[in-house]
Amino acid sequence: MLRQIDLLRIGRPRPTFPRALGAGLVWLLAIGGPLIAQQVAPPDEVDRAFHFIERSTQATELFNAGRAEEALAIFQELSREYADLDEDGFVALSAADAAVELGRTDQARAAYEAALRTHPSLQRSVSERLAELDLAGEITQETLNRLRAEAQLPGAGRVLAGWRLGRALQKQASSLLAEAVRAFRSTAEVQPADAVLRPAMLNHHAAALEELADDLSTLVQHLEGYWPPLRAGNRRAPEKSAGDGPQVVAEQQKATCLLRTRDGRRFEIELRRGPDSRDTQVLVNGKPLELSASEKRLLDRHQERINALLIEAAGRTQTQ
Amino acid sequence: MKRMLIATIVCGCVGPALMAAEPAGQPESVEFKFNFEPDRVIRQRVVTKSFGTISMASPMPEQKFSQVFEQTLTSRCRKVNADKSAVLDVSLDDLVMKMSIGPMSMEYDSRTFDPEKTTDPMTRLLGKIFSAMAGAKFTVTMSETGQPLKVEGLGDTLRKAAKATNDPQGGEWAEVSKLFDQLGSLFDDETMGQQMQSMYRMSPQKKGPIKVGDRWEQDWSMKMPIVSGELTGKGEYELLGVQELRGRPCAKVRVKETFVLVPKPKEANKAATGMQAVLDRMEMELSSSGGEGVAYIDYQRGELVQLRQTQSFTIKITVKSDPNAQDAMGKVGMELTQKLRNSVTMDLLEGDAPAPAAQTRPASDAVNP
Repeated sequence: MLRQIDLLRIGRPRPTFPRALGAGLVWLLAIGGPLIAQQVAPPDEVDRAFHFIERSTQATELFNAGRAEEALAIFQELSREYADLDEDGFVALSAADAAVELGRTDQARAAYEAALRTHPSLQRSVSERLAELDLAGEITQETLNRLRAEAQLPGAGRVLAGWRLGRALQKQASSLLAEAVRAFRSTAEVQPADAVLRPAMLNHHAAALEELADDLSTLVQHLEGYWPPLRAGNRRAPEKSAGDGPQVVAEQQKATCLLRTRDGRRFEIELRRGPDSRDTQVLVNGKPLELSASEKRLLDRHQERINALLIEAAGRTQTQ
Repeated sequence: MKRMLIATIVCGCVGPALMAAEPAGQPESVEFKFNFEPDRVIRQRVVTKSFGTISMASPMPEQKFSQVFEQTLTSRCRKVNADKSAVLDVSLDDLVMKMSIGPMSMEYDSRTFDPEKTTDPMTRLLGKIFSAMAGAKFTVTMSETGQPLKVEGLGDTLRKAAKATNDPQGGEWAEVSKLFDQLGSLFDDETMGQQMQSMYRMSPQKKGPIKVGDRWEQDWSMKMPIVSGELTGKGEYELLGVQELRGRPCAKVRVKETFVLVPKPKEANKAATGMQAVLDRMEMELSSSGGEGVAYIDYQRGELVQLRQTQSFTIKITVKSDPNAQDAMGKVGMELTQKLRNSVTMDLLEGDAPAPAAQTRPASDAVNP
């Protein structure tokens, strides 16, 4: 054993000072690297601010383009790493808005409340967004009671509360009408033909209610789905599919009718329409009649339904 | 062994300190000079990135806003006068903009924009305006200390932009076209010259050496004819150090600037109609915070090598209601608040652009006796 060590020592000359310096330099490179890295200045405040603004701009652009998943990832990253630079809570709020776009209601609600805790100045923004979340989901009695109370309070807030109360009630009415139709039809199914509540009567009534439900559903959908100003947090309108257009298109329409009121007045009505409802012309007793915008819309709505009923009936007749 | 250990310890302790030390020979003070050279060309790229919100009165929900704006400017020194002032030919080159407001978006690139292929009327209108601005040329006369003394030709650029918006068929943009026509007359060269003065505030006004740690301040104001207000700015600057950036000796300057726009009362012009009537009833308030950044200035040439600055703005626009207005919006009025954060980067692009091939410099363009 001793001889092997002696042999090893013979092969290695004793270190002199230059060699020691060389070894020291090796040590220097080994330990100095991390030390030098520590002494390199960390990203300064301007760098951090730049990165925050660049990424926030990118995320906002993605959000506005409907790419909510990608936007959410960036907003969440910024909330974790740059919370100190989110002075006005834009990033915290936007992360919640992106969750709303993705239909993650519970996550969005929690994120809104978290944003409010860290940024109390967001009270109004968060309250409005939470109110819209309530309206987007199932309408509860609690929501209605709260809106009714708010709509009675003095001040500018009552206008917004009244607006939301109307939307909540019509949405609930639409749901209740649909439930009423189901109730009448299911009752008709179990009634014998000669019962006091005849199935035919119940089904006719259900059919009339279905018309009302369909009309109301269309109104609600138009208001909630396609009017941009209503969408809190920039929610985009649902994409219209090819099937969203009217089922039947009236290429040409011409109708005449002779109407008599209870007090004996007679009206000869002549209606002409092309494929564009703006081409509608109405003559009453030979004279042109100017309709208001809402009258035209109602006329269109009912005429579309009449046309669809006729087509459905014609189709049923042809298959029999 | 012992010597080796001692040497190692010494190197380990001293080495990092040596490596972190400033290179020898860095000056502790600089003197800003503006050495203009005939035919010298510099190009700068400006990139602005912004995000924020636009809010209107309830029940309208707030919209998210984003914008990225890039432009290149080229400046060629046409001549240096005997008093060491200089005449520079400046052109606004490539312009790229991308903007989104809620679900609406717009993109413009001066290199590829074709109005005939653009169907969206807003994009077509703004594209025409930007196209008129991109490639615009004007002349700036600079003092020996880098202060803009005179601007010529920029007013023509705006009038050209106004004409570009003109739709011969009238239509919904006819009012906007008239607006730009009116704006063009408000932004004359003298007004623009006053506004450009504010761009050279980062260099200290006093002559002589500036030491590291020295601070200076600047106050400035600009008229805002559109909203009958005055924009006042305040800047604080500090020489942080002297270092080389992109091969140039630079003064590193800390920048902190804030702005305030205060509207001034104005008399309504009862004869005004359309867009002018709206402007007469409009008031704008603007305030900023933050405004911090760092500038690297080549102190031997007086050229801005790099600026990086961030800012937060709040802009509030109010249009008062007018019971006698013809349109529904005029009767109701409007209030809009925009809050945004923005970053600005200005970079000197290295590599002088070649002088125009057909252009020759007359003898009189040399330094005037």
